[in-house]
Amino acid sequence: MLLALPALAPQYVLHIANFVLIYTLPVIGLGFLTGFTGRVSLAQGALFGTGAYTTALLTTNFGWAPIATLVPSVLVTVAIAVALGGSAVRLAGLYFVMATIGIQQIVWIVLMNWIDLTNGPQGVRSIPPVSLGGYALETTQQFYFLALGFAVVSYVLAKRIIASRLGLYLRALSDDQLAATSVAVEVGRAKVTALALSAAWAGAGGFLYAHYVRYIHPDMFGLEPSVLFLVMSMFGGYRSIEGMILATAVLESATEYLRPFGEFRMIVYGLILLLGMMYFPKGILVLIQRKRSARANTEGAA
Amino acid sequence: MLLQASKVSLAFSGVRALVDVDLEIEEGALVGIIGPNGSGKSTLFNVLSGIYRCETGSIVFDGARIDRLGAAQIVQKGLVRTFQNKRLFTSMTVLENAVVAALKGKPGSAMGDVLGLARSRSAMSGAWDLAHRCLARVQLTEWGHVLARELPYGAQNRLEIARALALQPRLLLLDEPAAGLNPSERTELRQLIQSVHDEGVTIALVEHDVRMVTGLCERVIALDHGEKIADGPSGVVIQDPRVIAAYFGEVDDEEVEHARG
Repeated sequence: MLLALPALAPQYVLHIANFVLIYTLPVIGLGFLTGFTGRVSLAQGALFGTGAYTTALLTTNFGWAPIATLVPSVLVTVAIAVALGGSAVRLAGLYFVMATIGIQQIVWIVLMNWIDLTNGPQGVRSIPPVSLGGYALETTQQFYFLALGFAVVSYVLAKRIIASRLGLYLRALSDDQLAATSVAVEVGRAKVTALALSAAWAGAGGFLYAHYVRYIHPDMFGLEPSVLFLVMSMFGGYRSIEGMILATAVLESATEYLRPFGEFRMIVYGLILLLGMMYFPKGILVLIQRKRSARANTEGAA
Repeated sequence: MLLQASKVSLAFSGVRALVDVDLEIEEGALVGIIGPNGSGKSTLFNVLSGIYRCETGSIVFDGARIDRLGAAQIVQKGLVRTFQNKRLFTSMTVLENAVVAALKGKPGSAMGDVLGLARSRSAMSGAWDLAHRCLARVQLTEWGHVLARELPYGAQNRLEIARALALQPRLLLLDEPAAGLNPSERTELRQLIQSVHDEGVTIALVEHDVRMVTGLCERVIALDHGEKIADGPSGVVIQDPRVIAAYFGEVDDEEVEHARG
């Protein structure tokens, strides 16, 4: 069904779908840190931007082929995240949140002011589309398949990581750090790994974003996307990657379809979030699970 | 000697929690540690397991100094402890609690798990097997898929021990494992500790229940105000006037006689 979407859906829907697919990457990435490790980060937007800027600058200034910049984008993002946040992630939760706000600001200030490298407030224009085998993925339809591929790979990889021993360690240390240490979990190393993974996913998401919107500006990577990604990640479902994807789809579509509300759009959006958090603190996926278990119960009774 | 602590001292903002404590535990022993509340029993365990660092003194485990190692490294060496107030991974299932521990020292890596490498896969399945066996040891098999926080209290206690067993300890420090248990649960626990010891695990047991300690342990160590006040055969230590005084306050001989019943 997802593969047939470009043939069925109008251009506008497909455009939104592309953003949903792009955003699932930073959101799933944040899930490693927030959902599974219990560390709330407000720097995911900046890391997303780091990935976007790395590929944008390498392709426009240095003439790299877009696809060749994927690995550098991921690596640069991971390096910056670990360098700036590697020691902070070992701290207690609240201090880490404050540190990530600092990281967010540092990255934005560098993007805005290091004009020789980043073009500063001019932004980066004319970013080329990704081309595979000499075939440029320029249109909304073409890009959709690229983004879908990225989203599927990132979903499968994330599921496997969560099922690996690292996933067990992260859940254990978010429950009780002292007990985790006492069963030989290297807590510090596990937390830095979670941070690195969240940055890797953000970097890959930023790579996609840059080659879709083709023009980037530092203000696209301020605190607002960080908050948005955090909300999507937490709104989805407690430690459920499917839930995070669902929440990304619902919330991103909501921001688009709420455009008729004009200026009031963000107020309505805020209300949806508030009600969601009040009634489904463990995420909207609970709704589906509840329905399923209710059905199982009635079937069991009959 | 499996464990040799010499002149271990620790103070918290001037309050002396441990004062020149010497502790020797030989391979295969089952040692009881008693003392009134605040006498330093749990602090001693926290120092031995690397949660606190001692200010002076040295701790040698299996021939190597461990007093400057981190808690995770000490567990790697086979010195394992349980907690007085249960510290389970509450949002994980009972089985997962044991698996996290059973993964200790297993070959392979998280990267190997993700890529599905043979070495990591067999290490993972080895850990699940070990976890299953440890749950069976403490009669928790049928609770395996229940969240740890949903376990009844007594069963949480057993899970704490199963998790410690999954670490395959050489020396197991049990911190008041019988706290809050009813008499029949206590009897079961006593049999469990005995059988773990019979398999060759060296055990140090902190316990308030003096009857349990004397029943299980040939040797008992008594602490009071952070100092070791007695160390010897259990029958002798619990008759020691200093030990009785520590438990009942300064008392005259008549009251001591009465307390001995």
